[in-house]
Amino acid sequence: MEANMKVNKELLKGSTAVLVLTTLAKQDQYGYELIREIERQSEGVFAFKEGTLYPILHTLEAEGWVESYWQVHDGRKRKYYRITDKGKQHVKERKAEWQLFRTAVDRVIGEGGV
Amino acid sequence: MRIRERIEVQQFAASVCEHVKTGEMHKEIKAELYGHIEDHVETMMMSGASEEDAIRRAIQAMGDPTAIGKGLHAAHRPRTEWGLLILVLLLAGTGIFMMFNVDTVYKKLENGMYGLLDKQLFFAGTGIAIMAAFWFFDYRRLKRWSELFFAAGLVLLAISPLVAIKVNGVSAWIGIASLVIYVPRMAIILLIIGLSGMRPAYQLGWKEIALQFIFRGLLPVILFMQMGVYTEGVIYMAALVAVLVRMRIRWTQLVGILMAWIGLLLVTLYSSERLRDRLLSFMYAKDDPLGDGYYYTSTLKAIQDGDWWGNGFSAVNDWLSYIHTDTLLPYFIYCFGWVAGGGLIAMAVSFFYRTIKVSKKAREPFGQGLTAAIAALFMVQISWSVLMIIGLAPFTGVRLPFVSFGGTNTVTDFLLLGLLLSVYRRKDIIPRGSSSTARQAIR
Repeated sequence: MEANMKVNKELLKGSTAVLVLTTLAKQDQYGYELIREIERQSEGVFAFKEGTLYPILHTLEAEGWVESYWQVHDGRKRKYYRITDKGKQHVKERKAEWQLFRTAVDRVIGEGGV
Repeated sequence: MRIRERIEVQQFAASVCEHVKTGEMHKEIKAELYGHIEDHVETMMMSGASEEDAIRRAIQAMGDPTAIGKGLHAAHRPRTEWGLLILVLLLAGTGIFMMFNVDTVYKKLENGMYGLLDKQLFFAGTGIAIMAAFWFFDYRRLKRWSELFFAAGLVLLAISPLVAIKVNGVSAWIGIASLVIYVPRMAIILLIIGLSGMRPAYQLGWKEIALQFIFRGLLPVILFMQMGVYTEGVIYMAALVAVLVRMRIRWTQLVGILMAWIGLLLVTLYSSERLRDRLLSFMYAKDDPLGDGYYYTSTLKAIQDGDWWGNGFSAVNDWLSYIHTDTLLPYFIYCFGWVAGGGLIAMAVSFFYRTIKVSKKAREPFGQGLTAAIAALFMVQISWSVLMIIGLAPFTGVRLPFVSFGGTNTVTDFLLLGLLLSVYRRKDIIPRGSSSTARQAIR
C-alpha cells in the first residue's frame, strides 16, 4: 500500500502530470484523444505506454486537479476529463519552477560559449 | 462481435481490475479501457490493419496490466481523515479530563453533583462505538430513506410537547428506561440527513425553492421555536443555508432565503418582550451586571482571573454556575489560563475548519449536502460557545462539541463525526457514471 502511494506521488511530481494538465487546459478530452494530442504536440518524444495514462488521470482526479464526466460523442460513451481551478493553479506553479530551472541551465551552458 | 466482447480485450481489463480492491470501481474502469482500445483498433483498421492484428497491437500499446492496476488501486483506496479524528480525540480527551476536574470541585463544594466523569466516559464510549459503525457504513444508503428521516424529525418535534418532560419551561426531554434523551438534538440529526437528500439546489426554480423553503426551512424552525429551543432553530437555519450553498443555489435565491431568515428572527424577537430581554441582554450586560447580565459578568471575571497560566487543577470558583456545561469554557480558562484556553479554542476552530474541507472534497450531491450541514452545525456551535463567554453572543445552552458534559449531545457529536469520516472514506471510490454526479459535472 505504501509503495503504491509512493508510485502515485512520483507520478504527480513527474512531467507527465503537467503535460496532461496543460493539454486539458485547452479543452476537455477523453483518454485516447489526450494520448494522441500529447504525442502530436511533443512530436513523438513523449510516447509512453498508453495504459499508464489512466492511473495518472485518476490520481489527478483524487487530488482534485481534474474532474471527469461521461458523455456520448459520435455514438460512443466516453469519459471526459476537465481541468479544475486547483489544477490550473498547479500548472502555473510548475511552469514558474520550470522557467527558473531553464534560465539557470541556460546561464550555465551559455557561459561555455559553444 | 463488438471489440469489447473479444476474449483478449476482456482478459486485459480483468487483469487490470484484479489489482483494484474496491470492486465498485471495476465497471467504470473497464468501460474506460474498452473505449480506449476500441478507438485505437478502429484507427489502425482504417489504415488497413486486420481486426485480429489491430486488437493485438492495441492491447500491447496499453502496457503492463499489473502496473496499471496497481496505479489505479492507489488512486481509488478508501481514505482516512486522520486530522479530523485526532482533533476530536483531543477535544473529547479534554472533556473527560474536565469532568474529572469538575467532579473534584463539586466534591469540595459538596453540592451533590458527583459522578460526571463516569457518565461522560460512558457517553464518549457509546459515541465512539456509534461513530465507528457510521464510519464504515456506506452513508449513501441513507439517501434512499432521506424523506423518511425528514418526516421522522418533524414528527419528533411535533409530538415532543405532548410526551416530553418539562425542564425550565421547555418540553424537550424524553425518558426511555434510565436514559433521558434531548429531543431537539435527535430531531436535528434526522432533519439534516433528510435535508441532504433533496434535489440539488442548482436545479431548482423560484417556485420550487420557495416550496422547499417552507417545508424544509420554516416548518422545522417554527417547531423548534415553539418548543422554546432557539439554539437548535438557529443551528438548523445555518445547516439549511449550508446545504443550499454547497449544492450551488443561485445567489439571487440565496439572498432571498437569507432575508427571509433575518426577517423571521426579527419578528420573533419583537413579538416577545421576554425573549427579547433574554436574547439581547448580552448587548446591555454592563447596565445590569447582577441581573440579566450576570452570565457575562461571571464569565468575563473568570477569564480575567485565569490570567496567563490559570489557578490550577480543581481551583474552586464560587461565582460560575454549571461549570460542566454552560460555563465549562470560562472555567477551563480560570483553571488553566489564557494560553491553554487559547489552545483549546484553536483546536475547536481547526476542527470545524477541517469539516469544511471534508465537505469540499465530497464527490456526490448527498455527501456534499450532508457534510456541509454537519460542518455548519459544528461551526455555529463552536463559534457561538466561544463568542458567548466574552459577551458577543446571547447566552443559551449551546455546548462546545465533544467537550461539554452531555449524553444525547456527546453521542450525536460522535455520530456526526462518523458520517463525516464515512464521506471522506469514500471520496475516491464513487464511480462517475452514477447519473446524478454525471449531470452535475456538466454543470
